[in-house]
Amino acid sequence: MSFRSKKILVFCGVSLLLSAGLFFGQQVIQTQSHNTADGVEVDLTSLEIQNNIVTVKFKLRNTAAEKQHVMIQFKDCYIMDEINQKKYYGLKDTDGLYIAGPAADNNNGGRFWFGIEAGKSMGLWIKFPQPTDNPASITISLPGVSPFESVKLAK
Amino acid sequence: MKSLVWAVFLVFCFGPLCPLSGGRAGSGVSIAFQSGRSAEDPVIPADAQEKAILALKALGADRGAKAISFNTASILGVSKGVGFDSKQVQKTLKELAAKETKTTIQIDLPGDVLFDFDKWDIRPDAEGALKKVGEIIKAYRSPNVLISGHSDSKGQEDYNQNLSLKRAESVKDWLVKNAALDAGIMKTEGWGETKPVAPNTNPDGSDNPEGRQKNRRVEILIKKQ
Repeated sequence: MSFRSKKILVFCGVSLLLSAGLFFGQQVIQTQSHNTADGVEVDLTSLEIQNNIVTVKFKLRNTAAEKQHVMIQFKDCYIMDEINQKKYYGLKDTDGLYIAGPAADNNNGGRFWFGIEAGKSMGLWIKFPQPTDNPASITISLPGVSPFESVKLAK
Repeated sequence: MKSLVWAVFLVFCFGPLCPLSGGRAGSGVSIAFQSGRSAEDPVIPADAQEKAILALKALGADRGAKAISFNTASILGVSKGVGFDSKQVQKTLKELAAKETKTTIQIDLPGDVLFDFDKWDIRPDAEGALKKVGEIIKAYRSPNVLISGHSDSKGQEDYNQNLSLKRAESVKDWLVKNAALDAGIMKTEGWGETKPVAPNTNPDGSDNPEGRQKNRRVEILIKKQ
């Protein structure tokens, strides 16, 4: 094998490793801790705006040694436009259910209520209205979780 | 050369531009990986966005905006907002020797710690305790806090009453300025020497410095939400 081929091979190897990192890893915008479920960390992994609708995704990671049960009532989730002193609750469909998931049941419009095994994680998503005043950033509030502050609202 | 071809092939298959990668760069999602990652990365139902658009229309021009109330505003700016049932808050309550009932929390702060003799400016070394009080008020999202100043029996009654009120107001001002609490939820009272918690004198009529020290205090009554 020529020296040049070796160089290209090394380059490709590095690219492969980086690609694998991107593939198996996941982008995290901000992480907050759950206040009562010990060891549960909540990653804000995605925020997208489409048709004036903000879709946020979270990953709840159980870093504890034991299974943790986490309940999040969708009715208590909201985003805040602090500059204009407004808050917006999750969107509800015509059946009165929050457009969010996964929901364990339809209690109070739906709620996330699952046991997360030690070392495992679960995803969560919620759709909110985009704030009318187009703030540059928002705060996202989930019950029992420290607020996600200064989250950029980029289209 | 063969190695090179293999390397290029591998990068194509698993690289960021690969359609199978699905996560970030590619738009497709590998079915094999989707099933393995479904719990971590839940699939949003295809009709969710359509439902959301309808829901948004139903909300009207203001999109269901609600004014941020004090209870919400009180947690803003707290980088590590905590709930009242967190370990951190329970630890702080212990440190402050707070007395808790179903509806209230009472924290008594010694006057000698908060203020210099005959003064009502907050001492710098008292700020740690006041910061903790602010954290408790926020954690409970209290709608109502009563701050009462008390003095010992030395000096004129009117003077003591006035001093105790000024001290209560100093505590309130500190919490507004430094703990970002709304002044509207806090009321102040000055009780002077009228509500002692310990005798100012001993049974033989002699001075009781320890008792007087206990009486020089600021009581903070935090109503739970």
